[in-house]
Amino acid sequence: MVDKDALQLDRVFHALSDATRRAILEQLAHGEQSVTEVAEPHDQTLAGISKHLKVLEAASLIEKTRLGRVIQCRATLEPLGSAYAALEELGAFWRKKLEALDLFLKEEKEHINDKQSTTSKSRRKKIRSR
Amino acid sequence: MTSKVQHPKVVVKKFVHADCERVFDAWTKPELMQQWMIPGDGTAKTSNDFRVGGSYSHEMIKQQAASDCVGGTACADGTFSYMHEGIYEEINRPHRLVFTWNSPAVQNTRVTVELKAQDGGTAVTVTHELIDSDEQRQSHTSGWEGCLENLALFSKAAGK
Repeated sequence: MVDKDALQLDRVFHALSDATRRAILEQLAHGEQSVTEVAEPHDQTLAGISKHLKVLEAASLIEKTRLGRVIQCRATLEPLGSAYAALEELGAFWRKKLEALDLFLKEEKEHINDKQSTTSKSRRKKIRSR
Repeated sequence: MTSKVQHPKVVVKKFVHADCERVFDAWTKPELMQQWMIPGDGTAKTSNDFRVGGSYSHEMIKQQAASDCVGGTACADGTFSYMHEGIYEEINRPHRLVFTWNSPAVQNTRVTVELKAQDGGTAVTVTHELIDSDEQRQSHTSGWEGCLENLALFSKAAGK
């Protein structure tokens, strides 16, 4: 179950990791387009665009329907929610780690201070015993 | 072309009680990383080749599989291993550190750590973002300058 979710998330992140694919998603967020229409603003071959669409489809970010000879694409943006939730988890991870970092650095400082105060105490003792 | 569909990233900020040099050490020396970048109930094994283009591996070892951690590997001794690895892309001691980050939960991501002296301590900003697949290819042949500026990034300050 967790692995399946992770795989899905991976696909969404992979799909979003490309500027062209993000641009395509944005186009489709405004409404359905045929594959040719999707390709129109991009300086890429139809084959290249088709590849991007496949990646988006694998991530369930778009759906394709065939209308006669024309393939229509539609954005299904729900998986983005889980992608952002995963980012929130990453945020939580770093917040915890930075807390731990601060704690570690504080303890380290105290440790050094303790050492210094013990050495100065023993130095004082030595001075007194002289 | 700027896209409104955002390039996801998360930003976390924290003030820590040590100077930049010390904080930078804590981020980059394996023996120090192992003391704070660890899971709540576990330990870590860290090694790195600390230079631009060099790699690091940071294995977090938990006593139990955690529901909040995705994709750990069960080890023979009953512990669970979560391997984190990547390449150092930018080293600017003691203010800036950039490295790629691949973990069981997320692949092809980048972490930027920025340190700024503040009130006798250090303001730490961690930015964790996805890497463009195009950009990743370029990374092997050229620097990052410019690439970052051109990206339309989703920015969300997770820390308050």
